Amino acid sequence: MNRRSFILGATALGVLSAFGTRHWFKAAQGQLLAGACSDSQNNHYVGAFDQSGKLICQVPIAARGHGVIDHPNKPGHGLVIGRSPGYVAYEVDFIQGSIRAQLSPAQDHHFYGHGQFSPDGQYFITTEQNVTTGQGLIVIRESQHYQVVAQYDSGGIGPHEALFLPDGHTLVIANGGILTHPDKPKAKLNLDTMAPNLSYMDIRSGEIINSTTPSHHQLSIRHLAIDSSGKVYGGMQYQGANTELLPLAFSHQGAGPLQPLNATAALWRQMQQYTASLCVDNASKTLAISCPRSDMITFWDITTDSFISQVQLRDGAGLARASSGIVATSGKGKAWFGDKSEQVFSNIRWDNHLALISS
Amino acid sequence: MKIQNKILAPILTGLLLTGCGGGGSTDSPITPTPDTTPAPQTSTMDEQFGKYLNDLADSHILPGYALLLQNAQALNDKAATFCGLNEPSDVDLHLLQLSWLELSLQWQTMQWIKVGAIGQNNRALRLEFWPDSQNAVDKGLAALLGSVENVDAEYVASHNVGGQGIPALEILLFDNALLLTGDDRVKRCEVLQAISTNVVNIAAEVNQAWSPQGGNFVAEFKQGSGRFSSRQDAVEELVTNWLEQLERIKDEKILVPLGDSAPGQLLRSEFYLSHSSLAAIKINLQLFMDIYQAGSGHGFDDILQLHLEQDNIAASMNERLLSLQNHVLAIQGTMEDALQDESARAQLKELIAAIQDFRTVLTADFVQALDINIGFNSNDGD
Repeated sequence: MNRRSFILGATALGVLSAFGTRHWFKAAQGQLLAGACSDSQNNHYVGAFDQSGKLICQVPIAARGHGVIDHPNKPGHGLVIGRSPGYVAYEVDFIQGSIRAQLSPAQDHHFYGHGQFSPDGQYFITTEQNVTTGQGLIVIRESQHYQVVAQYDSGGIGPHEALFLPDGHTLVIANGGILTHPDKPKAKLNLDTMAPNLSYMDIRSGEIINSTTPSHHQLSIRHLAIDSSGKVYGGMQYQGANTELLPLAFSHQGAGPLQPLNATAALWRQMQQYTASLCVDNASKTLAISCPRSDMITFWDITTDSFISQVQLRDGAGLARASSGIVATSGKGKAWFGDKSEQVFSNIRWDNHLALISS
Repeated sequence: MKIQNKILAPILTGLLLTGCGGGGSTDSPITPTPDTTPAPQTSTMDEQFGKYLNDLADSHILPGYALLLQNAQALNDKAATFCGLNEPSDVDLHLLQLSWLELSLQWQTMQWIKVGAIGQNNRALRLEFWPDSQNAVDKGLAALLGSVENVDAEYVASHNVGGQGIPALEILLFDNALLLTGDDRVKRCEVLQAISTNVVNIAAEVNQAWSPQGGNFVAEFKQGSGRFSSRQDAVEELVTNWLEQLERIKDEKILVPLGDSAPGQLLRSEFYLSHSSLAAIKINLQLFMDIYQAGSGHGFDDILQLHLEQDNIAASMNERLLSLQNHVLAIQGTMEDALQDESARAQLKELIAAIQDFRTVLTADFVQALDINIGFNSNDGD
């Protein structure tokens, strides 16, 4: 691999000092990549960089963010959702480096860190929990002012990521199955009885039209990717012992059970029961799955659902597909641009996810 | 025959006293003695981390792995002697069990480390496959014992990972006395020697990889080069390993066996056949002070106090580490005893609270003072 590394050192720091805040660096053109991030002093931001690795903006936010979603109607804009239990989401103008709007869940709800615009751009959909009942929810807001227009039962507990199939009206939901409560955000309250599933919802009616469970009740389905044919890929986090051997990623299309991706036992073991993000590159027929506990990004052939290769990226988690191919970010502040280059951002810890922002 | 608790207890105590780099531990509560000597900041954090890595490697990691190999070889030698006897006695078996205990408890001092060769090629799992909810160790060992082929170390290394390491040896040595009385005594001896040789081989590979005369991973480790991007990066990975071990002790070694009520779930504790589950936890937690202080070298305590002048955080860390030791040393007997006794169960719960208290300081004040990043996504993802 031909890598070149940069450290954003004195120049970036000088810019930061000159403006007194960390909001704005320069106007950007073309595609941006955006992710939630934090610094070593536990300040939280959402940041964006361009495909040359130049940091475009770093906007302070009140709490740790999680997923970022491109805004289909506003070039250069996106939404960052608060990490579970999240109580705020922001619409961010990444070109100007400013927050344009803010939305909150209902009083007895919290976000799970993910959201998605409907393919027609008219609605913004989030995964949430009703804290009182523990029930998972799909909450639908109109995309102008983010007013709630409907909410549906997600079909399980702990809905995490949810994405639309190419048909434009079927929402695929990763119900992780883990019951939590904001009073003890880290505690998993139902490990013995958890029941994760992959649910398909007709967003026009809220009806769950299909639901499939993983092979083990402690395999929490967390993150998804969908290819152009509508095949769904899921990444899981196993809640049992590290010594147990279970496939941590699957594909699914139509009826039938979840199909584990094809890899050796050694590779599944290496992942240490944890996957972070998934990303499909339809052009190269490749799926990427990040595995931060094993410091690797794995690549899979989506025509055979088989493992192809891996690259090492310490604490690597965020994945997005840019015009140049798949880009990954890490909690060590690194952005990896395939074989072409990598960039290290000073005092930035990129969080779990990365998104391509059209501008 | 099962070794009785009252026989093992003094042995375990003796091993505990020498299990953490030369002793000094007692069963008496420990009183914090914070060092408040001030000193000016005269070097960079990179240099500070370099001193820490250097001293930790020289005082703990290299000698620890060397002792692991030495103990593995000793067990291997004793197994050969034992298996050469026409009529081995209870005493012969007992000596072999003690040799296994020395190996097992030395492994407990190194178990927290995942960097380097131990984290590659499933070596850690091959040495100790645990927790084992699928009975992989039983199954792996049964397959070896049932093999009609000659079982040697190469054979073991190429078969079920569960049957390759210290837990499989524990079953052979402590589960009844089949090595003395079983009809398949000869086969058991063959498998015993094959597994113990496999453990020697794994320990030798790890030593070779770290050794300056071998793979010289120690140089990368000290310099923060190779797979590390900097010395800070190496420290971050080590502290992440430390945090993971802390979680493992709390969750897998204590909470799961504790269960909801007495008598708990002894069979889910780490080394229940040899009655050394609690001894292992004591060694794990006593070792934390060595990690913090880099043995007697330039530790995190020195960095906090002498370089960063963060005396309060240093005192807080020290106080909580001593609290961990006081709590765990106060629990008498074996895990089997403790799980059945309500007052000891309460002590285990207090120990869990002390671990959580330490974790809070470690993951907040400590990492912020050192300005390090401990597995942002790998340990605190979603």
